[in-house]
Order: sequence, then structure tokens, then C-alpha cells
Amino acid sequence: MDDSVAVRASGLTKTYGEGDTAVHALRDVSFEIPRGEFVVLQGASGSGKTTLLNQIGALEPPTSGDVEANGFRLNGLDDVGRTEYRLTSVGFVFQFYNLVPSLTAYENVALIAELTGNQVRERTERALASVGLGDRMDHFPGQLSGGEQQRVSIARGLVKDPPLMLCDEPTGALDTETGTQVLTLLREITDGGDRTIIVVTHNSEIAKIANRVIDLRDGMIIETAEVTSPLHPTEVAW
Amino acid sequence: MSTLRLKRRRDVGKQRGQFAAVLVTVVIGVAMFAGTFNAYLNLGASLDGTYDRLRMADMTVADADDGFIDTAASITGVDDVAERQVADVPMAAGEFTFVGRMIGIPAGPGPTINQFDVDEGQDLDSDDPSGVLLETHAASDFDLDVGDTFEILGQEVTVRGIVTSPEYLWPAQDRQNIFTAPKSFGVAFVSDEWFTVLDGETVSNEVLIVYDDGADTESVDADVSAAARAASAGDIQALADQPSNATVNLEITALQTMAVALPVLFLTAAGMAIYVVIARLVYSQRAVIGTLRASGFSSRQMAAHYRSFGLAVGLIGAAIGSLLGGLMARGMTAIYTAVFGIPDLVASFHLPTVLMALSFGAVAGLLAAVAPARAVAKLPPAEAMRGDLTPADGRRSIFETLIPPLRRAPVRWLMSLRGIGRNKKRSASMIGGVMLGMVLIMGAWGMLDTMLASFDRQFNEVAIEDSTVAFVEPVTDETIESVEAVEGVAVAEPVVGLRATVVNGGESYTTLLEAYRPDTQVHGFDPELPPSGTLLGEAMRDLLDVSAGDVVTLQLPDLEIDLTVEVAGFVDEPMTTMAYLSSDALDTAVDAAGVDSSTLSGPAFTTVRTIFDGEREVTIAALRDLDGVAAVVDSSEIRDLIESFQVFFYLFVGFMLLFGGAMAFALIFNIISVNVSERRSEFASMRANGLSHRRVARLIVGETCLLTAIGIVPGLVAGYVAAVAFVNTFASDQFPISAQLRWFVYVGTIAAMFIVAALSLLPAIRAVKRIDVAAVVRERST
Repeated sequence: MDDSVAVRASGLTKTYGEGDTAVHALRDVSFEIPRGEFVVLQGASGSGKTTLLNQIGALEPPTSGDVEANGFRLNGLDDVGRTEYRLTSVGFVFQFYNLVPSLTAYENVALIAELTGNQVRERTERALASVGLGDRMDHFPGQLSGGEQQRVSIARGLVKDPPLMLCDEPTGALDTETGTQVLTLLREITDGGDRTIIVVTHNSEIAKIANRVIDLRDGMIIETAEVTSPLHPTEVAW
Repeated sequence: MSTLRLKRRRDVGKQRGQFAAVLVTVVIGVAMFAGTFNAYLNLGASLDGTYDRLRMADMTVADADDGFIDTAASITGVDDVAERQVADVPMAAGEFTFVGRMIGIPAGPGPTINQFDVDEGQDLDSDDPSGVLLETHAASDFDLDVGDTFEILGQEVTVRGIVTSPEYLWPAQDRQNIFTAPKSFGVAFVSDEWFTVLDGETVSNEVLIVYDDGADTESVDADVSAAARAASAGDIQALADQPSNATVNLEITALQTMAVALPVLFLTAAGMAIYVVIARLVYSQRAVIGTLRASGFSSRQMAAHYRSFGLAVGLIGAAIGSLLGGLMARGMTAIYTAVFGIPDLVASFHLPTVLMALSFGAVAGLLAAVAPARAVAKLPPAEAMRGDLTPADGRRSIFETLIPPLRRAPVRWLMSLRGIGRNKKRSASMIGGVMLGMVLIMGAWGMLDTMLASFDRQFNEVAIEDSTVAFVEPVTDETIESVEAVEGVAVAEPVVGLRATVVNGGESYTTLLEAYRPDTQVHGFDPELPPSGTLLGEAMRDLLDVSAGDVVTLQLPDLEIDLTVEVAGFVDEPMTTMAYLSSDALDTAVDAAGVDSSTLSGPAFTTVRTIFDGEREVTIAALRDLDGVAAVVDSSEIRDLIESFQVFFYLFVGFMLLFGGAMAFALIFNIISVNVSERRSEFASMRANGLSHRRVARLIVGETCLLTAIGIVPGLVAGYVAAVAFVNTFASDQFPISAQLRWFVYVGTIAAMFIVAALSLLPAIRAVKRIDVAAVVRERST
């Protein structure tokens, strides 16, 4: 795969169930995402956007087809290989943060840092500082606002320094102002770098800040649009 | 079926593993109650039935003055009295010589008190003077059938019948020897004519007394005892102290204790497990509860709905447990009555027990569900429906506060440390489960280890003789020399044994007085046998309220004298409570009391105890061939007998390990399952971020091991206390054991708890592996 490509999907199909009850979540989807872009996957509920994100993140195997990312061909990987891929190549951000409540912000991030190399303290502090939480590191999730918790989860993804960040409705549980802060942060961590960010959202306004927007409907890509002049997150409202 | 009932059924179906574990705990608890309590009632009823039918004496008085029988008959509450003669005499069957007990009965109608069942053959007949009746244990030990012959006092007799006697359901020779070596003792019922050839010294004249039905036993006991003492009785033995009855009653008492203690443990564990499962159910169904409340269900209806989970599992478990308990009771009663040879088997299933069992199950289930149901009632519908995204409060663990360097430990360690504080009630339940499991395992194992250690001490440190040789003639220095001359005998010592009542103030205790050489090698004394003064068994310290330095009276009915001696100390001997004197001190005291001390060498009083340095069997055979030998008791026989019991002991421990393990498993499994289910999103998120399922599993293993380890600390204390309590249930003056738990009981119990925890973890680890990461990361954590 060309070095300039972050993710390539070819003939990706995902079907849940079988027979009359089969649900075709993805139907023969193929695309390429260039490295360093901020990409939005958008579509109505049930369009297949989260399923596609899960395929790229190797959270579940496809029914057919393949995804290539960061030197991995995901279809041939067993559970160990998929775990290794997620550990080295992908940072996840979820709508409901999924932080460990018994660990501080620092420890939630360090838990992952410990798995991925040395200088755990330095890398963890740097990741938290990069999301603006350098002074909240010793707080437990219960002592943080929703936006702060989401920023911890972004730092948790960033601490591995992954080439790919996958965000599933990262502002879905946040108010507008906090959501804007989170989007600004996500935008900042891609600008001028090789890191690719793929954000799933059903909010069409968020698409305005992306470099590329992939529209899905009924498990198929209906449109891929390059945005020549993406807006700054503070310029959009929803 | 109402919709809520349908919901309940499906909710249970969804968590069937957890509810099944709870159900099993309730079933075991209730079955144990119903089984052991019914067995206790049945065994008591069987014993009482046999005693009533065969008119077991309520009191036996030996060697009282003439006329006592009339006095006894006139005491209010006495129904019947009878006299008989008893003597311990040499007997021989095949190659075995032993001291047998000859009990005189009138030929023809047989005894009116302490009757027996003739199991085989027929009653005595005056036309058959050489015919005797043999007690069933002796017939079995010496392999004698009806028509076979053996010797009593050197005369050949024929077994005319084999009988079961209520006095020898447990074949104890006397209260001080409840474990009698096989082939060293036997009981024969003979016609009264046999006693005419014996001297008065050997024969004991007993008065058997039966009380009226409904008599106040305690009061009549006191009146009869007072009359017997006034008549200078040599021995006064109430039914409660009768060796066989006391031994069987120890077992009945233990059953009664088990019938209460074990179900309490299991139902407590079941209650904790029910609480954990229902509390989790309520937490995960907050949105449903809010919606139903918003739709018109009252808080009372919702609370009742969640209480019904506990009630249902309690009642269903109790119903199944009662049925199993019924079967268990029949089996246990049959086993006990067979072991003790109780002829009358009462194996009924008592309705009140069933009702109590059902109530216990229902109450345990209901009580456990009260707190979660109350939480349901208090839940505001709007808040419940909205859900709550606020994570649970996090805080550093107490370990990090106490040991600050721990804060720098790897985060996955900190997760395990803090995991135990995330849900304190649940962690407390787990610690409680570990404790309850340990109470059951350590209690049972500790009790049995105490018994084995006590046996070991008794036969290797206290009664260290290899054999006891009884003679038909007085034991002289020549007799001792002849024994010493036998090849294989290293030590031979005369030991005097006399019936004795130790009296201190108003308290008395009837036992045996044994006198040993001051430098004896055949008995281990701690403290050493003093040149003067008596050593008493430890149990007498409390029974007689006596201390070292006090002066007590030793009433010796065999010599018809009383000795006044100082208590030099107490010996802690696990299987007997006797009085000891040095032989020199006894000789001096007896002479001073006006009795020729040479009387003590008579065969009724003096035996020769030996220690071997040669091959046991050859030496025993050579001793049996000595002139004038009445009996040779091989001490190894009793050790073998006890070792043969060890198989059953370990089987019992095995069952307790199984039950205790099952109980702990049910609780720990439920807690871990609930824990994993509650933290699915957290684990899924870790998996998404690159933690392998093995790493996540290790986190759960770490938390579980830590909680198990924390539970083990109080568990060891509670287990030890339980073992002491179980041991005290069996302890008596006849069997004055005290808890002694060897290291392997502690180590084994700890290992068992970790094994149970590991087994409980397996389903949870599988569940972590099966988490659908893609689906769960999108869920709100519940």
C-alpha cells in the first residue's frame, strides 16, 4: 500500500445474522483515506458508519473483503494479531468515554502507556498536557466534567502515538460548547501531521470541519467529498 | 401469568448461571438442615425406642450394701429394680486370650432390666449349663457363630445365641476406655451359677434401676445417688454416663450442632449471593424501573417485584432442599443406626422440620432482597430513566494510603488494588463468602485433625505400652521376670488399676486409679509422676473445682478404703480422665489404711505392661504362651482400629471441602460474574485500546486473589473458632480433647479457597473473552 494512504478498504462486506433475518450492514465498500486527513463518516442511523469504523479498528471481522492500515491486512489476523494492531496503530475515542472510574486521569492514560513502551510518565503527562489536562491529572473521572473525561479518553488514545485515531460520536454526550472544545482538540492533533482521524457522526455540521466526508446509506458509500476549506470547529454550530 | 411475573421469569433466565448458583446454595443449606435435623431426631427416637423396649437401666449402682435394692425400689419415681452379677474374667477364643465381661442373667425368662435381642440362636436354658449368649460385637470380632465354642475361666462354653444389648451398642469396656481394641474385650451373658466359683473380689454386684415414664430424671438421679452413697456403693452410674450411651449421645449432640451450624452458614452465604445478584439486577434495570414507575406502577409494586426474586429462589431452593433432606435423613439415620447397631430404626420425616426448612429458605431469600427492593422504592423515575453518566467515585485504596510507594506501582496493579473498594458491599460479600467457606472447611478439618492428633498423642506419648498382659494369678516379681524373659520384650512393668471415686468437697468423679513405677517407661507423664501426691486428668480440674496443692479423697471400693492425697498436678491426656499415683505411694497409703498392699498384686488389679524391641506378632504369641496368662491386649490393634477410621474421617473432610467449596464457589462466582457484567464497557474499552483478553483477565484474577487473600485473614480466625467449637461439641470428660490444628490444615484451607476462587474465575474469564467489543463500547455502562 502506498505510504500516502492511511486506510484502504476493498470489497468490505459485513452481514449480521443469516437467512431472512440477515442484516447487511456494509455492502461491498471500497475506499482509500489519505494519511494526515480529518475524515468524517456520516449517515443516518443504521447506515453502517459505526460498522465501518469497527472494521477499520479491527473490533470485529468482516464477512468478506479486507482493510489495510499501517502495514496490517486485517482480514487475516487472529485475535492476537488484531489486539496487536489496535495496540500499535489505533487510538479509540467513544461516545461514553469508558474510563476506569477507579483510576485517575493520569492512571487511565498510563494504563495504556505501560503497554506500549518506556518513559511512561513523560508520555502520559505529555498526552494529558496536549489535551489541556496537565493540571487535572490526579482527578478521578467522577471529579471531571463530561468534556474533561472525553479529553482524557483522547489522551488515552494519543499516548500510544498511533497513526490512526477512530472516534465514534465523540461529541454525542456533550453540550455544544464542550463538543466544540473536543472537536478543536481533535482537529489540532491532525493539523500538520501524519496522524489520520476518522470521526463517525450523524451530525452534518461536524462534517464541515473535515478534510474528507464519506456519506453512507444502507451500508454503501453514496458519496465521498473532499472539503477544500474546512471550517474551524468554532465556526460551526449545532 | 402477569407481565411482571413473565419479566421475572425471563430476567432469571438471562442470569440463569447466577441464580442457579444461589439456588444450589439454598438447596444445600436447607437439605443439610432437613437431613441432619431429621437424622438427629430419628437417631434419638431410635435410641429411645430401643431403650424403652429393652428396658435400659436409668441408673446402675455397683457394690452397695445389702438392702440397697429395697431402698432403691421405694424411691419415688423408680419403676423397677433388679440385681445381677458382673465380673471381668479371662476368656479365650481360638488363638486369642482376652478379658471378657461375664454378666449373670436368670435362665428362662431372662432379665427384666437391660434386656437384649437374641439375633441368632436361642436364650439360655438351665438344661444347657455350658451354653452362653455372646454379645454381637464379640461374636463378630472373634468370628464366633451359634454352636461354636470358646473358653471362659478355662472352661469350654458353647455359643447358644448371639445378642444385641442396649448396654453395648458401642462396645466400650468402661468410661475410661471408650475405644476398646478389637479382640481384646467381649461380653458374654451367662447363668448366675457361673459366679459361685469366683471370689467376691472379682465379682461386682449391680443394682439396675428403671424410672417411671415421665419421671423427673434429674431429681430421681439425685435421690438414687444419695441413697447409693449412703449404702457405700462402689460405683454409681446414671444412664447419661453409661459408656455406650454416652458415646452414642456424643454423636447425637454433634448431629444437633451440625443441624444448626451448617444450615446457618449456607443460608448466610445464599443470602449474600441473592443480595449481590438482585442488587446488580436493580442497578442494571434502573431505566426499566423508571419507565415502569412513570407508566403507573407504584414504588410498592416495584419493590415487591424485586423482593419476589429472593422469595422465589428461597422457596424453590427450600422445596428442593427439603426433598433432598428427606432422602439424606433416611440415609444418615440408616448409616448411624447400622454403625451403632441400634435395633429399632425410626426413619420418619417430621412435618415441622419441613415447614421450618421452607421458612428458612423463604426468609433467607426475602431478607437478602429487602435492601435492593428498598433501593427500587426510593428510585426517582425521572432520574432512573435518564440514566447516569457520572462515573462511580474513584479513590486511592487504603493500601496506597498505608504504603505510599505503592502509588508508583504499575497502573494495572493499582486497578486491582482499587477494584476491591469500588463496590464495598460486594467486596464485603466476597470476603464474607471466603470466611464462611473457611469456617466450614477449617471447622470440619480442624476437628478431625484434632482427633487424629489426639489419637497420635494418646498412643505415642501417653499410653506407650505395646501390650497389656493380664494373669490369672497374682502378679509377682517372678511374673515380671518371666515376661521380661520373653524374646522381644524390652520393658515389663506392673501397673495397678483400681476403681476410684475422687472426692473434693461436695463434688465427686468416678474413674480409675492407676499406679505406675516412679520411673515408668510404659506411660508418658507430663508433669512427671511425683513420688507422693496424685496426678489427675485435666477435666477433673473443673469437674471437681480442684487445684494443685488441694487435698482430695480417693474412695477405692475394690479395697473398701479411702485415701487422702494431695493433688500434685494435672495431666492433659486426650482420651481419658484418670487419677495416677506412683506404686510406692499407693503401697504406702494402702498399708497405712490397714490393707495389706500385697492385695494389689491380685489379677483383678495388676496387669503387666510391656514395650517391645522384637517382632510384634512373634512377641505377642510368645506372651500368650506364658503360664498363667489370662489375656494379652495388643496395643497396635486399637491403633489399627483408629487408623481404619481415618478413611472415614478424610471422607468426611472431603465432603466438607466439597460443600464448603461449593458454597464459596456459588458466592464468589456470582460476585465475579456481576463484577464483570457491570464493567463490560470498561473492559471492552481496554480491549479496543489494545489490551489482550489475557491482560484484562489478569486484572480480574488480581482483584479476586486480593479479595480472597483479605478474606483469608479473618477466615483463619473464624475457621479456628469454628474448629474449637466443633471440637468442644465432641469433648467430654471421657474424651477430653482440645483443638489442635496442625500447619497443613491452615495451608490446605488457604489452598482450597484459592482453588475455589480460581474455579469461580473461569466463567468470568470466558465472559471477558466473549465480550462483543464493537457492541459494548457503544453502550452506556450499567
